[in-house]
Amino acid sequence: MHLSQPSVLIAEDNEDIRELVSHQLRRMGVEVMVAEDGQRALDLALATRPTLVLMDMDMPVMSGFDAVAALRAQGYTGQIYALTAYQDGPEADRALASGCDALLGKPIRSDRLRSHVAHALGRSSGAPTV
Amino acid sequence: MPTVQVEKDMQALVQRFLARKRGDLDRLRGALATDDFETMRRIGHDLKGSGEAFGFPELSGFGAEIERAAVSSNRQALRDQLTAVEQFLSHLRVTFR
Repeated sequence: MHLSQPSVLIAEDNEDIRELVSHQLRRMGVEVMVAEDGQRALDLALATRPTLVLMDMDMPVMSGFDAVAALRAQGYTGQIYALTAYQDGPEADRALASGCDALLGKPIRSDRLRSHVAHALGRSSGAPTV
Repeated sequence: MPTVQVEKDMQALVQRFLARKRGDLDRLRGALATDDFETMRRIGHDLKGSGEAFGFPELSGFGAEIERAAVSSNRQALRDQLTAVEQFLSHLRVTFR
């Protein structure tokens, strides 16, 4: 299944954050999918090819780092933003090296989340490009 | 009494969040009784990550302390933090605008 509308996969093991981010993105009119671990995120992203993946890097079963590397190795070319408390240093470097396009800092702030997602979906100028 | 104002649009979401946090208190008590430090660390880690995002930075602070105390197997600190979270949640007043 490939989705034709802009869609975002939220890969996050914290149920509270999954729910909060889903809520904010649905308010933006974005199609939302969720995964609670890295393996599920990998499977879902390969099956649906979302426009953007928001990937928590610290997850059970398969880490976000491994899931991102596997996604890139298997040809996923959409954008991936790492959800991480680390904005610089080794963890941030590792996230970018694994294939993430950008970092989205934790704790999640709604205004920052919305602006990052709007940018990723090409909505920053009011003219969606995806 | 801590009072927090939240957007009306977030009401259902915040109420579910706070209900889950009250459930976490029961899980913490159980984990403390059995010295299950990994469960306590995970609960603390999640609370640290979500409290501030929902508008409750105090909960993120408690979460960070719980995570730290669990990593060092500090039972007394864990008991103290459990009491602090209980008191915070029992006195918390949330208004929706």
